[in-house]
Amino acid sequence: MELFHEYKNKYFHLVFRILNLAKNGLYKDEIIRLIEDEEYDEKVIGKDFKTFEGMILNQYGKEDNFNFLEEREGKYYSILNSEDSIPLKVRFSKLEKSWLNGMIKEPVVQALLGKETLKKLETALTDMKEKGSNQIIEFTNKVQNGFDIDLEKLSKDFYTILEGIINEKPILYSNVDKNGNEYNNQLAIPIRIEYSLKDDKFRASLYSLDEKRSILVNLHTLKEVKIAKNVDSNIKRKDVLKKLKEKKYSEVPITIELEDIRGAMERCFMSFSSFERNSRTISKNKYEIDIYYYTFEEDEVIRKIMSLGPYVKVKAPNRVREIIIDKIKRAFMYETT
Amino acid sequence: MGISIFPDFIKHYDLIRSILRDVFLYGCFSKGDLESKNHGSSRKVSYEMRRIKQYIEKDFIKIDKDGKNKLLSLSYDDISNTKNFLVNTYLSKSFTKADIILYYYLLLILNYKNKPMAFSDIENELVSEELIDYGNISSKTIERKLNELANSMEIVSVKKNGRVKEYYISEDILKELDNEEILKLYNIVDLYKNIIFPNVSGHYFFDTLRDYLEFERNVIPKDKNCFQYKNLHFHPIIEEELILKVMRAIENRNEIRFKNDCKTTRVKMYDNEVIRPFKLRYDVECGRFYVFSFTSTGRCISARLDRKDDIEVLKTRFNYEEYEEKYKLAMEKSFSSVPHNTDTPYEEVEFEVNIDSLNEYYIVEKIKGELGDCTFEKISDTKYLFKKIVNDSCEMIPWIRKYGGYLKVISPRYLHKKIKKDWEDMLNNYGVIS
Repeated sequence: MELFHEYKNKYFHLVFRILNLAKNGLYKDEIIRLIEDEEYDEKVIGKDFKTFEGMILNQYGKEDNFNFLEEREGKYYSILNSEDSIPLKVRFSKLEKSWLNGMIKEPVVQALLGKETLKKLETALTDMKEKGSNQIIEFTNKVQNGFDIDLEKLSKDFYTILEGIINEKPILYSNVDKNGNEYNNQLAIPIRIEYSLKDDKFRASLYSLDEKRSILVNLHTLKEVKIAKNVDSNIKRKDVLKKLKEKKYSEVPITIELEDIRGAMERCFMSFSSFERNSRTISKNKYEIDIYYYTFEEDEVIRKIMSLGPYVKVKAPNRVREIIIDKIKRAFMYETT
Repeated sequence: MGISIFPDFIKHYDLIRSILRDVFLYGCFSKGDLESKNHGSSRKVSYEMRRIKQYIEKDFIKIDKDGKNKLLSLSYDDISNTKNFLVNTYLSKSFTKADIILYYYLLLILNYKNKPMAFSDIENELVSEELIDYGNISSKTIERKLNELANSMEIVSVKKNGRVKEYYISEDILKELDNEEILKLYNIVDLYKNIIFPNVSGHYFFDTLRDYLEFERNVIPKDKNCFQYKNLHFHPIIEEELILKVMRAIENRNEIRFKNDCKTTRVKMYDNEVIRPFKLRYDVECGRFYVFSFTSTGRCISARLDRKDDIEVLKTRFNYEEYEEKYKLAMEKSFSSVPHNTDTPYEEVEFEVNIDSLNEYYIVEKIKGELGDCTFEKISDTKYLFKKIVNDSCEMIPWIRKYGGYLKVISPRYLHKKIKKDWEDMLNNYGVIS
């Protein structure tokens, strides 16, 4: 099966949902709502002004309808409806099984699944012809960690934090930061688990109830983490994320001017692809980009700008421009000594 | 029956691939610019831009004005949005009415009967339920669709009963897992669908798993958006059809041929030549995919996948093991993507790292981690010496510039001069020196 396949068209999935939800009958309004939630703006199909909704609800002649559903006493049912099972069993495609097979080869995934579940999945996938191995992909510009990760501990902490996130429960944690400072029994609301593709590290995005601010802690430096019992907090995850955007998102973007020499444009836009940005052409081969960022990402943005070299210049704000100039001066002086 | 259903659907992904890349990555091109970038006629560009706007949620679409020109761009911040919305562009392949009705009629019958069925029994069922009319759909078409469900999709299985092939709904691969185990798997897949390539397959798996939970286990998981990513690029998704082709070719040891229809000044070396794919390499910094292959003369070559229009997978096979040692020699010392093909020695890059105080020691650790295999010597608490063997030291330039102020190149001298010149040019750009 190809990656781009008609069976993965969203309208195929819509039919699947309607048929399975129609096991006990669906009212017309319910079907219309399901379609409206999913379909594109353009409702007319082909040249004869028929709609997907009309074809599903058998509103045309038998030849023009889909004839997936039949109406009985005001409700729609699948044309073949057995009492014992759903009209369409859910099965994974070859492509999906192959991907799963690749995923369960990852050491962290194996630890997260646990030995028993992993064994069950491996047995179920034994006959796969297409193994979907990710071993054929290497990574460059990736950091090698100079320490071994205790996968068992990582897995335990991962699930404790995840439980806190899913059930909106505060956690108590003890951590050692990069300077060796210890923080014991800190109370926090877990917001998300972050995975960094560059250094293969997991971090927990937390809202510290002690310090009343958002923080990020490495899972591999956590000494202990547990769900805080009998602690209630009225602070909600979504409010923390909203506040983070309001308070920590740059009010003014960094505006850079870029000259497209030696593939600089491609490199620049690619390295800033996960940042919100506006861009415009100034003249032939010259572009201007506004880069929006969270204030705690400023050092990273500056490093990226530095790495792009002489083809990029910061135009605004002046504060960042001055930081960059100082860095270049320092770099030039050091390289000259 | 044979007419494609929706005007917004497309037959081949490559119709939108290059426009989507330009709109997502750059977002500064007007309709006229896109036309002149060989994306086709004004009408075609308008159609593709309209389709992109249909496929992607409105929250991520920005339309800016540059004078009279409208600029379409797609943008997000990676904390507010953790969902790769470009995946939606894969849910748009055109289909005919025959495609959709046969797919569901066949599955409904096999599910309803819940036993292995010969093709003739399935056909009889279609006729007795008055679902098909042979005037519109031929028996051959039905058989072809059934075999597609069995061979290409594997959601239907086939077994032989004597000389007759019998079809049935495939086994449930998760049947041995209890609900708790499946919910665990659901969370893991939710995280890893953006990490394990092809990401589109991961998203497909995740969506099917959610359906599985809902319909097979009567569990609707809480959608809590539990994960976020650092250094995750969305755009490699655009190339994933090609990535999957190469992954399969490597796995099956098939030779390939790159296709490049673009008339612009792209690197076209080795296009249309039969080559042997060996490895894929992903650049985490920029989100670029490279494929490393060997030519018939044994030369290791590197190609950017986003610069290829298609890949032809040939039936001819090659001996993969034969290239293992050659690949090691060519790529083991490559800092990024340049292979080493000659007998000339590798280059040794030597540099000094200077930090202000021990509080900045994490920079030294970071450099060590990023360099991987290297030698390291402590000169003092704040000064360190690194040596790294590479194929081509020029590949290190962007990385070196990133540490400007902390890092000084000692050798090779030409690299030191190049970096010094870069800093000089930059100061010049800012008007600090002239």
